[in-house]
Amino acid sequence: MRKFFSLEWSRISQYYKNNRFIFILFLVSSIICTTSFAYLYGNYISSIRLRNDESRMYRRYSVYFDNGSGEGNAAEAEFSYDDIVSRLSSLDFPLEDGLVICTVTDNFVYDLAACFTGQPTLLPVSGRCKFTEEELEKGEKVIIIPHVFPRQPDGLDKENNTWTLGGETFRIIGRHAGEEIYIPPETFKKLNHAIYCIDLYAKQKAQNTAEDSGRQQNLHALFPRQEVASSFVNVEMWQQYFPIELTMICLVYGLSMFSYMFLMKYMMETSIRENVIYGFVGASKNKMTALLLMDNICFSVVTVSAGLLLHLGLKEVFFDKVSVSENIYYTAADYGLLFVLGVGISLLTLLPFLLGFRRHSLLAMKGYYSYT
Amino acid sequence: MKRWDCIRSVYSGIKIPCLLLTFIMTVALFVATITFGDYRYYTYSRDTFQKAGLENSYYVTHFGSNKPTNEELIQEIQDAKKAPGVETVLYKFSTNPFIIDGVGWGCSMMSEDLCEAFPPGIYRGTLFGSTGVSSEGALEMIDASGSFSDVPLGKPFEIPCSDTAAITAVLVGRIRYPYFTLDFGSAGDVTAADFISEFPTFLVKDTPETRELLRSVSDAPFNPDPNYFVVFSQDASQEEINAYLNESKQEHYILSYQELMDSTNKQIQQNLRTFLPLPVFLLFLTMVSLFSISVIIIYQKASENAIWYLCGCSRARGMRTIFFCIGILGVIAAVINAVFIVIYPILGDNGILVLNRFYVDGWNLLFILGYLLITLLIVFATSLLLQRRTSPLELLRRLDQ
Amino acid sequence: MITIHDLDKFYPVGNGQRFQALKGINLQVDQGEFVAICGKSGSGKSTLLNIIGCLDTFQSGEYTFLGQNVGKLTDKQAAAIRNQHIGFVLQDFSLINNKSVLFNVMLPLYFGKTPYNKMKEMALEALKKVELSSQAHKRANQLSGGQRQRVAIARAIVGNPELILADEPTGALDSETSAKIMELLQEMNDRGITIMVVTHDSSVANCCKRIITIKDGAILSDQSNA
Repeated sequence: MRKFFSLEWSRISQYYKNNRFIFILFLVSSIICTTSFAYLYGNYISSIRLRNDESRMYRRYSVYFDNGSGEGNAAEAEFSYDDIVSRLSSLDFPLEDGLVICTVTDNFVYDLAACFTGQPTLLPVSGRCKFTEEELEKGEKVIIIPHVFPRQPDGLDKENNTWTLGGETFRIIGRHAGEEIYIPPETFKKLNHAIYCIDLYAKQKAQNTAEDSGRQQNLHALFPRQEVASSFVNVEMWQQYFPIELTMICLVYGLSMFSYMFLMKYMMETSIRENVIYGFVGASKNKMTALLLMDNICFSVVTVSAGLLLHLGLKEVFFDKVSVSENIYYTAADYGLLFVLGVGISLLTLLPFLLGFRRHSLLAMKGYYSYT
Repeated sequence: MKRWDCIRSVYSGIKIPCLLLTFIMTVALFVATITFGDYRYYTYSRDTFQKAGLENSYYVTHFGSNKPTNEELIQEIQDAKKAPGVETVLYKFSTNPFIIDGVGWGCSMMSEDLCEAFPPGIYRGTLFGSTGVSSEGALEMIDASGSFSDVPLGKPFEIPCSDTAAITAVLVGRIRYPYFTLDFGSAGDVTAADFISEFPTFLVKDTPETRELLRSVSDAPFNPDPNYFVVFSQDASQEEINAYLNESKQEHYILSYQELMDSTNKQIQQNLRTFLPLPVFLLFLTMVSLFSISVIIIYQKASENAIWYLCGCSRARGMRTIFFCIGILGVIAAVINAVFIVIYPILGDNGILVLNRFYVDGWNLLFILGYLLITLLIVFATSLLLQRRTSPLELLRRLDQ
Repeated sequence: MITIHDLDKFYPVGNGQRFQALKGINLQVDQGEFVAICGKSGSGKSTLLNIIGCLDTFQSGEYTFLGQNVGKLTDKQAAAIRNQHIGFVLQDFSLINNKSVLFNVMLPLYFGKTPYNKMKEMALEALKKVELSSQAHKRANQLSGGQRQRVAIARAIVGNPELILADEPTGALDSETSAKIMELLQEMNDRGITIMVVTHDSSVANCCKRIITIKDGAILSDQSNA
């Protein structure tokens, strides 16, 4: 083993001595290529790019209650408001907020929501998008409407800034950027409409399908006969693209590495005299091929490691600033995968050159270095 | 002939790296060209919007269930025109489709004010006459699709409006690629790109005469786009503006010009941030590949270059030949992409390749030229630095040894 | 043909110091001479040959070739002289291995004024002189050492130069092949071409009519070898 490493070290030193410029250029190019590969991995592959995306669209769990049209007397529904809230208290994942939703028909069909966990998470546009304590406690008829709601065909009294909906008149306190209509929970209960759906927003997106399934099962346990839907399918959709996207960037990396491999080929050719001498002193062709392969494994391991370390080191300082999304992060598994792919692809791109080398006989190679 | 033989001789033994380099450069430049075309689309629409002189205007929109009827909208527009401080209202009507060769073609009706704010880019023919109807009673139309280049200008032709009715029309002009036309259909947080879209259509002038002609062949010949611009005059006071806005906001969602431009600029920056890194990195990788392969070619050909030197080729000539042989690879990549830019309008017209939100003009070609110059500079610098360091004579000594 | 007067050549060796490779060389070579330049390794004979062949420059002195003052020539002008008036034959043959023999011989014509359609004819004629016409389409690396050197000679004479400079032309060859190469050079000389051969082999030197010996960068002796 010691002989082998000693030989390998002398070979690499010889590459350096034969042509310093090409040697350094090869190392630098390979490191740059690997760093770019790491950058593309995070920015091109959707599931990595969106890994840190905690948008509400990825954290929503919905439970649908079959109450016919959803309207009508809440007493006839399978679950009352209090039933639902009480069951959800034993949920085993934390919630950011949870909405109970009923429908109200008034020329158009509106979804009316109440946040039973407290204040809804809203992006305010005008007015007030939080209920006061008094409004919450007393169940006052106040309403927060989407900002895009202009004049309604019926019921909107411009002067008093109220809206009559389903026979009930609400005072508009604000407009928000979303699409739902919000009222305080106590007000919701007083309306006595059957709940047709609950939307739960987890505090954090599930990390993987297993965790998401666990959450869905938890909800199934609480509501056995109800349909449960998870928006995690959006994340799974991105994950489906992972193999194709990874292949694309591997192709880009492979093509780039192939072009730098010509530098390696040049170094191999300038060391041909050494390889011929190895043959004279008894090394078989397979041994010489193994040595060349080992040379490249050493180069690949060093350059890929250096490239990934460079990426890790410059991530906050540089790469985060030029990334397509914010907060793209890499796990140890990502770097591990990049390392394996980087070394593997480097060796793959070397193969044509190695096969070309094997084609020549020892005497042909001797002739080559004698007369170059 | 001699020069070509010498050049071919340079490529012997290095064909594969040269082909690879050409391929990598072409693909990277293509990706960058597409991204640049995307960027140009957004900046073109922003620039067009900025030139419209709408700094003192507000975009009034309707939403979903609140869409007014045609009559209500027309009344709204009339009321807005009469509001104190309002100079004009820019609105757009569209006709019901005319059937030409089995395909329905709509017309955008452009009022005088709209033509002034967003002048159609006529490159053949003229704009409409004062009434929009020719002296022979034909409806004056401008081809904004690029699909009717075989219909001669000035010659009247019949267009079916329905099974029973037809209208006599005459093409008075054609607009140039990229056939962007106005669209006031978007609402919400719109940007300039939402107003200007590539939508093949005809343009007709919106006048009482054209409306009468259209009504003569159909009961409901045109519909308004649901949204419009209210343009205040320079002299309008803030009170007058606020009075209109306060009333209008009760029923409409209104965006000021500044809010529109802010959204537009934000969109452009966001697009740049989203789309730019990938092509920039690809181009960067390509440049590194170019440098590496140039070095290899120069080193591999150094002994041959030394032999040329022996046989009477000057160093300058040898360097020039190598520079040409490597530089031409970048030229090939640039030419392929430049050809794509030039023929894209033709490909689009024939439905062969239509890229969504993509715009090409002279700037795209300049971008490609810029890339080519950088490529040639890298090759030249590499060639000069390496071949100055190792003169043919020093290499000859190495060969002799 | 060649007139050299008080020529000095220095090489920088680092630390601001320089090594004098040639000291006060005075030399005259007439048309049609067959000259050997002998000396031990490092004596400066190859340096002198390179200067004569317009491959290298000198720091002081004067060198006139065919009436032209070489010291004041640009690179382009020096290249033109090499192309039109000088042929080189080197120890390692200096052929382009993966190209054909014919291409290698035609190479100087590419950089000269010979019309393209005449080049092949001239190359074949040169190959005929060295008796290698049958090998014209083989690759250079498919030939033996002796054949390669003959190809190099053919390349050297294809443009009908006045001068051939040979630097250890038989260094890589066996004695029989060496003798053949020297015979070939003699033939060229008989046709009027001036030949200057750098060698440390006395058998090669004895083939020449004039022997110049160099030691430590200076001419030690200049004798006729009748």
